[in-house]
Amino acid sequence: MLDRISFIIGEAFEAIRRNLTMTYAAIATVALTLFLFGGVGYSYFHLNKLSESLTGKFEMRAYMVDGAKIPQVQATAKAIREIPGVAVVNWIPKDRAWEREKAKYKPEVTDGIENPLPEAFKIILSDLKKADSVAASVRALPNLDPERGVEYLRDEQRLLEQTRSFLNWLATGLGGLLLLTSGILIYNAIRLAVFSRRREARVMMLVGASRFSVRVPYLIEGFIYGTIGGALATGMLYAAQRAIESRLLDQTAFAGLPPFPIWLGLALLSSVGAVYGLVCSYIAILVPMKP
Amino acid sequence: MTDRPYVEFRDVHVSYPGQVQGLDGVTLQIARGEFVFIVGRTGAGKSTLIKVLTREVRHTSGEVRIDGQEVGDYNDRTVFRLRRQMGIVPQDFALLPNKRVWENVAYAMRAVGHTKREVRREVPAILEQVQIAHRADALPHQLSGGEQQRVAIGRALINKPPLLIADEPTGNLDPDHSAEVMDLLVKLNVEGMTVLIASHDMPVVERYGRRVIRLDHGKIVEDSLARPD
Repeated sequence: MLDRISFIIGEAFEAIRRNLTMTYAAIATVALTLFLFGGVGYSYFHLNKLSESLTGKFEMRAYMVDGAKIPQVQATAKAIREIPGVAVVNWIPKDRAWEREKAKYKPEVTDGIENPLPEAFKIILSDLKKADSVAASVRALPNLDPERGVEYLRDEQRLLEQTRSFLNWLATGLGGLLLLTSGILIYNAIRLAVFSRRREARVMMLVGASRFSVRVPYLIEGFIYGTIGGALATGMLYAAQRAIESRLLDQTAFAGLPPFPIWLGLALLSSVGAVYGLVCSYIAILVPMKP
Repeated sequence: MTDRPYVEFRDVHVSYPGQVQGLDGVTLQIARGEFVFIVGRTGAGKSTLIKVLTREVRHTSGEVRIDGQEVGDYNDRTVFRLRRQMGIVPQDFALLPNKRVWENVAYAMRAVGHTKREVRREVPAILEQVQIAHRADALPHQLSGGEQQRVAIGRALINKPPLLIADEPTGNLDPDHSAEVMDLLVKLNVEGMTVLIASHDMPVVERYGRRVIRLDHGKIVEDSLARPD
């Protein structure tokens, strides 16, 4: 069995050896593609985590008109809860809010002042993307203060969403193009390997080598391209993170990025590369390997 | 033992795209241990007949059996089993130019799953059998045409097949080398192997006086029995 495996692996390395230029090109492109995908994916993951934590923290304040009565407060709270994208609605009674405000100051500052605060709601969103539509829906409710109405961190939310959509675009657009290019390069590398080893393949078929024996070396070749490409991409990502981190540390009081999960990255990107290499090489050998 | 023919064609048609008939109703039987020449002009159907047997070409209709097994039943995944029952000697020898004589045979053995130990044990014997052991370390381009053909025959013997199929084995050889190769094929036949040769080298065919099947436009036009020795 080991004998058999060593023959098949030897055939794969022989094919690689004969096409070194194409091998380098295929591996470099896979590495670049996976670097881009990995980088975008990694940034996206962190942004998602950030946006999830922001969503939890992300609050809106809605203020009612002065003199709103309890039934109006209850009706408004019920209406807000029914708006899609709203997770929690808490009523902040004006008296309790005023008590809290007063506690921040010396008594002489607030003594004699009538409670100026309106009845208010703290609204926590379940989906950050819906912040604008939630705000608009809340604003449209009756009994809301027309001036103060709804307050929330619109600009921060927009920036986060814009970054996410840019990363999405980068991943699907540029990444897709690179994925296609690397696929074509692997395909070409395997086709060249098949061509350069057509005599061997013919001999194998003539003497009755199984389809497995004839094809597997080329599949191993694609697998190797993908795996090495994935490993290189992990190294490039690690280096990129270190470079960004050191630049930020030099220029700001930045506390540092979370550590790059190098082993997870290696496992993930090498696996993706390996599967991709296998698929591309399988497609490449379909036609010329007919017995 | 059985009276069943070893190789059997029954009303076999092969059509190529563009209405070209490769074989047109070929029916023939070859017994185990026979030595048969398939002759005819270029395009007569000799190579098609051989390729149907090796299942490089699929017959359009009819039946093709080797030792009772329908050749068409083998698919791309299983055709290697059929090929291990036969030794195929292609017209161009198909030797690997960067491998030495013994490596050419060893490579083929490794490809069909023989271990290194088996290769070390059997390659010298095969090279002896085809009388090329003295050139074991030569590269193909250092060999004469006849020697290259003997290497190709040796490689065809790695599975110890009961059937040897050779396409124009003397096509590129001078008369002396042709005789060497033919003598080797006759020797293998005497040892019990069924030998099927496609050839248009009529002097060679006539000299050996074996059964001759003549094809023309994909049909059998003559099937003459072997001359009594």
